[in-house]
Amino acid sequence: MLRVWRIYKAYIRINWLVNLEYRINALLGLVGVTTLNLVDIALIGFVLSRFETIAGWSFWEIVFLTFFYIIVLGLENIFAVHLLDLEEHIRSGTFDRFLLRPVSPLLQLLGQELTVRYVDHLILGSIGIYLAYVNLGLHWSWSQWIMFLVALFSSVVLLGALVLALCSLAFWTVRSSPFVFSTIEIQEAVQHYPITIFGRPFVFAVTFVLPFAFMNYYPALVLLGRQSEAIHPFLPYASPLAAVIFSLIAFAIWRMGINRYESTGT
Amino acid sequence: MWWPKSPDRQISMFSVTISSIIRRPISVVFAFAKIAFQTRIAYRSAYWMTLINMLVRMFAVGAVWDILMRSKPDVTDINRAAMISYGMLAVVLAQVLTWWDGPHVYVIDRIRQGTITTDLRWPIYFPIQIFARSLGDSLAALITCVIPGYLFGLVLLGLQPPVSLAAASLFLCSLVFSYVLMFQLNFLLGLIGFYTLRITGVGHFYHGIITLFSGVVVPLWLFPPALRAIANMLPFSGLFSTPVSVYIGKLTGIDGGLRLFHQATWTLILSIIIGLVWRRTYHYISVQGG
Repeated sequence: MLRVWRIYKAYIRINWLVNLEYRINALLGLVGVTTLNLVDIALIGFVLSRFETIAGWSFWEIVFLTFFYIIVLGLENIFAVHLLDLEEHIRSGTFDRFLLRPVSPLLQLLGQELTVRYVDHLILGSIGIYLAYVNLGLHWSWSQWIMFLVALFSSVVLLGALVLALCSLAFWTVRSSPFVFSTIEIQEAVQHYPITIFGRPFVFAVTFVLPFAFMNYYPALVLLGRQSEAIHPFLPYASPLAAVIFSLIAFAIWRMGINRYESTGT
Repeated sequence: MWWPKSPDRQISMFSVTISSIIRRPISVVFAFAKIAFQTRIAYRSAYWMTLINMLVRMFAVGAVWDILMRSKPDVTDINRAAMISYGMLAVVLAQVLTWWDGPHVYVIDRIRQGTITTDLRWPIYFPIQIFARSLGDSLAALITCVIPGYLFGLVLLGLQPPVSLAAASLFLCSLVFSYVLMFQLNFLLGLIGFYTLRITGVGHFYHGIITLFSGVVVPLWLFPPALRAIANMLPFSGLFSTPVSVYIGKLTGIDGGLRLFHQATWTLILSIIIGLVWRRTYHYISVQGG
């Protein structure tokens, strides 16, 4: 385990040095992600200034929902955006390299880089959450802060697992980005609105099949005191459990994929 | 023709060939459309991805307006069905009125690969050539995404047909202007690429502006009054707000005519700007390459 950690650190350090060269890109990224998300939230703001609430959620509660998701997205991308490269490695045959080295291929893939430019999501997300916290007049106790951090951590792991599972499909289909990018609009919907407005089938889908709802909705139910809205009273607290279960599933798919990849010998 | 003619070396050098192509502009567009179709067939998974995302978005947008309009039906003077139609139609039309993809993306790719020189050597005035390309692309998108999406909406998601025959025909007129406007804005953005070699930074900003001011997500009449006044003057309101408002019957008679006039005016202004900017850019390239 210690060895794994040392290797990971070495990988990350090398790429950190490479990354320093791309400061301007990072700055442009921050401007970009801020513009786009501000526009999104402003539009919801215009609508809610007329309609007041959506399914009982006020504007600042929506802000909380949206920006919690942005933090999760940022953290997951910092650590795991290179999972998306998997299909390219498989297609071009460079994945063989990963298998020849005496280090877990998954570690090599994740250790390519800490993608620091996604810190912009973190900054933006934190500002959003802070504004929501103030405007909603929240006063979290110790335990609620811990719950917030646990939920955040679980969500990041869960999103990572989901992306790993979808990307691992490339072992069978060679291309996996269509699977990942087909979920974009589902993610958009989950990110911006309380999922109950989309009906029960949708709620089930984003809870049990593509569990995006654990990345902002269920944590928000706990942290905003809306637990009663969940289809089951345990679900708002289930982010850590979901993270564990989906990590195991994702890892199993990944292992199956690798075994299959070896057997084809391409 | 909306585009300005300019005495351009590109044309005069190839005056023999151009006459034969100008005579058959339709066939050029269809040739591009054929290429676009073939690309879509070659990248079938990308097509399914686009289609799934569009349908999910239509469903989501419909659900949002549905719950909002049920909670407060008298916020605007149109009914729930019309509001849902507005949202869904905008989503569908966004497949041909694209701002994240389109001529600017094509131009910048070609500039970065250096293959833009091939395009410039074509015996067709560059903006027209790129327009024909976009038109071909959009024709493919119309048949593979817009029409299926629209029918899906009509049958399953509660998208309403146009309120009247008059609204339908005015909508189609307005849509033509929207299409040209979208192309012109995209093309101008692409021209920036000739100077900067990248449009990522400006691109984000552009994306934000269009999303905010075009009415693609939220109809402009729900904006705060001051912002609505500004949005209505800008060219972006001609992209989605005008045609879709006409479609649902929110915009009729004189008001509708005025909004179409607004679209036409901006089309003209942008044509002139494109003519001037392109002439400068063309000389800039000649100097660079010469």
